[in-house]
Amino acid sequence: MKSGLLRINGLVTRLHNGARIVDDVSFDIAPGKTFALLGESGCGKSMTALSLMRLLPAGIAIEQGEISLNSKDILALPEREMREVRGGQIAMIFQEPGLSLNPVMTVGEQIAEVLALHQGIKNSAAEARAIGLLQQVGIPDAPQRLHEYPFQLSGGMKQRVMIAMALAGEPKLLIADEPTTALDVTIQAQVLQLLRDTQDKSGMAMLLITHDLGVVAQMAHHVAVMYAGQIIEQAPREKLFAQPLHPYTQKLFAALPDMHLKGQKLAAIPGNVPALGEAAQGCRFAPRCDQAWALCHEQAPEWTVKSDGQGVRCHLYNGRTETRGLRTEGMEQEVQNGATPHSVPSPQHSVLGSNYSVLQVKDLRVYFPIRKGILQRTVGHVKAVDGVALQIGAGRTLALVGESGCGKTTVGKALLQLLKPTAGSVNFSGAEMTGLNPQQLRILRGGMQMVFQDPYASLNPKMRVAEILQEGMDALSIGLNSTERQQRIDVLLDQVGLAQNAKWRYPHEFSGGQRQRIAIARALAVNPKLLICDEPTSALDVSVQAQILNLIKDLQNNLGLSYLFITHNLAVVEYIAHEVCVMYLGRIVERGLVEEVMRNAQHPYTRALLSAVPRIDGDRGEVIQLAGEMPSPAKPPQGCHFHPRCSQAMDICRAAYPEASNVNSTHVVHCHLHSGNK
Amino acid sequence: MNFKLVLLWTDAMIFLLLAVALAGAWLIRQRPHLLLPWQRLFRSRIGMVSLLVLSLFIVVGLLDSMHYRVALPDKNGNGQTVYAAEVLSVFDTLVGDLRSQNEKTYSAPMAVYLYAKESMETADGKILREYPRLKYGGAHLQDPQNEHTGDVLKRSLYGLFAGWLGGVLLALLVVSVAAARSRTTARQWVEARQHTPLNAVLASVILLAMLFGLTANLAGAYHVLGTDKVGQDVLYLSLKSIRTGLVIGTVTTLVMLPFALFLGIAAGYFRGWVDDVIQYIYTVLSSIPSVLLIAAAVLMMQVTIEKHGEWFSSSVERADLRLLFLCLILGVTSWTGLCRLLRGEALKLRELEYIQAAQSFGVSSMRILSRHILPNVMHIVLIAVVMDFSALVLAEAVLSYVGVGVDPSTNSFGTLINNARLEMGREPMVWWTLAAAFSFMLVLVLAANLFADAVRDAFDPRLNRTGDAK
Repeated sequence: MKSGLLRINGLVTRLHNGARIVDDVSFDIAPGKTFALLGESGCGKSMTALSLMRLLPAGIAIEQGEISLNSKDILALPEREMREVRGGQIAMIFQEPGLSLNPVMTVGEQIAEVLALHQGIKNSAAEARAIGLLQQVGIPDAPQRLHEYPFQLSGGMKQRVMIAMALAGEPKLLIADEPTTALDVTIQAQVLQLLRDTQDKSGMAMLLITHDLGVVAQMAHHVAVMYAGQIIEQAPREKLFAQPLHPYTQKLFAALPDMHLKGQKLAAIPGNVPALGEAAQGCRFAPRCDQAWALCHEQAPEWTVKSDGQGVRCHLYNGRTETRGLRTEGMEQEVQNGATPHSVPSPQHSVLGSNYSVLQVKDLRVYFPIRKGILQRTVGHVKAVDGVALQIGAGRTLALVGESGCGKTTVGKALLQLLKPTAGSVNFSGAEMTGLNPQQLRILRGGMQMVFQDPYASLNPKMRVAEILQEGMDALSIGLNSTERQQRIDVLLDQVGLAQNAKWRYPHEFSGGQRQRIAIARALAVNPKLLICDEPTSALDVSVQAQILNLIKDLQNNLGLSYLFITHNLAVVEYIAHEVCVMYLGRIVERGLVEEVMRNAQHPYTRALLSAVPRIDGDRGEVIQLAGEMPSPAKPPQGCHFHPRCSQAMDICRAAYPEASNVNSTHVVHCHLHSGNK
Repeated sequence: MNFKLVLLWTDAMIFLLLAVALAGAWLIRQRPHLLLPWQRLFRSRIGMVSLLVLSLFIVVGLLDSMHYRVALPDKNGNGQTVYAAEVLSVFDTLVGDLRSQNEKTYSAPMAVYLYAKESMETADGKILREYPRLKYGGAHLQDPQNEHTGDVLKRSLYGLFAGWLGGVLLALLVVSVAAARSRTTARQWVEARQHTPLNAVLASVILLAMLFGLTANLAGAYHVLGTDKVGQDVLYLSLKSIRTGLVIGTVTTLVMLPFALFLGIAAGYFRGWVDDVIQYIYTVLSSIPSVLLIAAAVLMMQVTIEKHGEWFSSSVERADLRLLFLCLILGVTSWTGLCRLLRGEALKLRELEYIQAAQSFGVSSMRILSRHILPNVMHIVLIAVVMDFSALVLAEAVLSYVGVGVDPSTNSFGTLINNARLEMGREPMVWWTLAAAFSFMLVLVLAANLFADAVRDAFDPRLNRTGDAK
């Protein structure tokens, strides 16, 4: 085989109780190339990386296999020499930049530590080198930043510093464990670009661990798909994206929400990702695979390499590659055509601006006071939401899109009156919701409910499912007596696709996707007309996300619900929304029908946001790189909030906030570029 | 025998606590999710053994909390039965002569002679300075010089053997009764529990029974832990001190819990001015040196009690009221720590999405506090209570040593130590009072701490999923 920098052969990592969490993993990484490990949570991809570094947590140990770096056996090295390897030859960056830097050391000290250890550079030479590194990772005012502490840096900056630290040891291999998962899309685009540039310059190899197909499409040369501890498919990127072989890989592609799947059901993979180290006979994917036959349940498939070098672990390709191959190609066609088993008619497309609007929000403002001094005097305001207007028609979905910190969750909470709006009006089906006392508000509560982001934090662990569902009914006196309420609970469980016996169980017995179903059932219990969904799928795996999106669509079709869908995931927006509002720094900068905004974005920010999303077709296109990061809502820039990051900013942008300009009757944008067509 | 039951204030508190604990246990048995961490606790070896030791202390404490007064043989002029002024407890009756067999002054553990020389007149009229024989300790020996060691050995061995036999019989009885109830043979029942700490518990039952046999057999003839300045048996005093320690440790908790629980979660949940007020209160309270505050309160109470002698029908009642007030004062000064902890936890919980979901249903604040926040902080409360227990037992010792603790007539570890401290400088040293108090307190606090550790592990949500770790 080709001269690999890193070779892993038959790696098995076990828990103390014998469960294999990394099971027979083999791959090579060539110098200067990027190898991506793709998989959902709990499939063992991070454990593979930690095995490489020999940094496994207590109770987990490498049982067998070979790992060699530059033909040197890493597993045989004594701990002293292994320390040279870590940071010196293999460096690692982690998911959460906020937790990977020591908060009590300055950035410069942390980089200098690596330099002293691995390069023997100290004192002023180290400082000069550290400045060089910070400039290399694109941090402005490097000499000044050197003396700052991590808390003074933003998330994207911290990840850049992490990369600078990793580069300080001049490693031959960089392991990036979900390097951009915690970052916003625009920042993600910056960091990914930086990683690519660094690789071009230094020629280091990269092991990229991610769950995001889009990131893989942009970054990887070679991809391995992991499922339940095993690599189930391995191929060069172009081949894998052109023709995925394993049913799981095919399903992963099909489960991605997209514009042209609108109105159809997503090809969700039934069931859940198996728990780490769960023992299985036969193929591990067999229980969730719709192409599985008896052999799949009895015998684990062997690793099969096709003539073109694409490897797969599936009985479909065992031996009689050709005939089986034909069959899958047929399957694939089906998937790509979106002719999934259940195709649903698209929701009754009511005319835009349907004369009956469920929710009408005008000039909503939520300011948080900034208090200072002994007397706690208010010295300013964080304008989290600053004059937002929305309108949602019956049975329609409005998506509120924006990066973290733009105030979109605050809008959701202010609508529900969980936060008291500073000003503005929230008119919900004809009744004004602001300025009511708790008793008056309670009457209106049932109409509007919320589904939260984190299904692990949104259910009280000490209450059973039936009690959780009943709470809202009790509080709002829905259902006459307890038998009626119990019957309603049965109906609700059925609606969200849960078994009746779920009633008397506790939340911890359910997986993330099932918990999100319970959370949706809880909201539905009080017969709402409008559901505010706050990133309901962002904590879920791709295959489970598709299940929940399907459920949300079904409920809309069956019950005529309206949704305010708060998200940062533009692919989900394309799939589920009718109308879109794009938020930036507390204000809506562009609104319109989903086709208009997604296909014909007018605001430079929307365009940048759209171009920053990694597409799975690998088409890097013209990514509009946004300089810097979102400013603090406590001190928004003068004039148009976006002008410091906008490449098309004009003088007037620095002076005045742009008024609304109509592109057409439904498409509105706040930008001076379009102020002509008022 | 005729007697009158006496219910002291602290007795009432203890039985109330016992009832609450039993009711709680019954409630937990009904709910599988509450039972789960306890089942984990029951699988922990250290937890179960320390619980066994702890429960021995509790049994002694409970027996010592059932008080009564014996009727005197003579009736008074009106034909009414007159009761003795002395208040006895069931425990006093069980230990029998241990209470009344007082020597003249100090004697070393297992001694036959007094610790100090006395002038004695011999039969021929000469005055000798000699160590006199004890009245009770080893009184049955004719020739102590030669017989003493042999007798002690013989009694020890006999006691150990009897204890072993009793322990084994008890273990067999427990196993066979349990097996009969679950309709299996004893062997099957034991084998089904191979992964439980059953063996460790049975072994410690036998060991404790042996220790009990040894002590009981020796105590019949000797002062096992010696005698104190006024000749009282130190073993008896130490055992009596247990009740005081337990009362301080538990009743104080009872006093402090409502403050800590309600104020803590209310401050954390409501924020705003409620939070400000509660924070100011506990910050002020915890910045006053607590010993000073306790000393001031105890002295005030002492004066009041002395002014109103007519309130009490016996000295025991007076001492008991003082003990109760000490608990109250300790409770009022010690809720701040737990309150602060709960406020922090409630601050964290109120931001959780299930609380917000409840708010968006319009669920009332009190209901959110009781249904959503309280059950989710109970594990912290339990851990804090078990951990505080040992701290309070130690605090009592310190306070009594300083002289602001319990009534001098109340037996407690603190008073024992206080009495012993002066004799430490004596040559030869009188070490056994201090040693006895020290070791009893050590065993009690150690058992409580180990139990608290086991409880914390069992209730730690982060360890929940690794049930097969050990």
